[in-house]
Amino acid sequence: MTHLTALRNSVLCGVAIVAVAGCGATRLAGSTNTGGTSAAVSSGTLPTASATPDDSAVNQQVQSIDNQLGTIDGQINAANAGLSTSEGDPSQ
Amino acid sequence: MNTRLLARGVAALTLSAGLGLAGSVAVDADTTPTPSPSTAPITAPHPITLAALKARCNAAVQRRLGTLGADDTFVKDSAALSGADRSTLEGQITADEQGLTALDHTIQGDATWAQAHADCLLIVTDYRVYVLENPKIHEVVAADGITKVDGTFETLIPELQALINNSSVSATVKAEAQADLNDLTSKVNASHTSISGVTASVINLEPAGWPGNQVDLKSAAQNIKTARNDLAGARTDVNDILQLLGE
Repeated sequence: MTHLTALRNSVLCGVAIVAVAGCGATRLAGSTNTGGTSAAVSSGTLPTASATPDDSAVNQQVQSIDNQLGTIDGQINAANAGLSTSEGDPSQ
Repeated sequence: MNTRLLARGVAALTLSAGLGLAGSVAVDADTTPTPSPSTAPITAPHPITLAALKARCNAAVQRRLGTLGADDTFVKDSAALSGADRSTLEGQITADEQGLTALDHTIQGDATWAQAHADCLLIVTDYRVYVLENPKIHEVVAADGITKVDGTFETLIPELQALINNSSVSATVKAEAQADLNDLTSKVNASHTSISGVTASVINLEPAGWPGNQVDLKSAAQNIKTARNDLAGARTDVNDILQLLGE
């Protein structure tokens, strides 16, 4: 009886250890993935210089500049299209 | 001899006039004219009924209202426009929309073909939606956008300077980065110079000044392009600096 109880406790303890270890591994894997995604986004816009707090501010400014330049290009194209247009008699 | 010379002169004038007419393809559209059955040159009035004429004029008004409506939405939503310019453009767009709607109402009530045709021509001459208003709006948005980007660069420059100063790269690399930053600063300044006054030069252009004020639109377009190119150079400098500091 005592042996059976000890055996059951050992089995339960083993299961608990495996579960805790599994959770830890999952957590680590999740953290790694998040870091990888973040790094990919950063490298897609800019090469990061060093791990100073200013980096994120610089990246934000540059991202903002890129977005604004894209909008400006669209407006330049639209204006140029208008400059090469003519308007005739609407009744024709 | 004199008679022959006179005859040559008349012939030359006739040829010039003919070429001029053939070359002036007038279209009622918002795109570059291309040869197609719907963009026929004005040679003679089409034999259409008064009702058909009114329908065409109404369609021309509706097309312009569509363009102005899209412009209005863009102007309202644009983050680049200054408050004053947004207000000015919105006022102009609203005035055009109201004027065109009223003109269409007048045309639909005209009793004669000649009167309807004369009023229909006002859709073009009183508004110049495609050749003046629409490109003008886009130029103002672009010019204000460049001014805004200049401001963003001016915020960025001291941040880049701090990165250079605090970087642990070699003195040689740091000097290269500093040279890039100096170039960036000069390009942003050049952009600021090129774009200065551009919005003011076009925002109040009116259809009554057409075609003379087309020169102002083209000049503004050139200045915008120059300023944009400077910003492209400045943007390249940013990449170069960050790459140098990341070594």
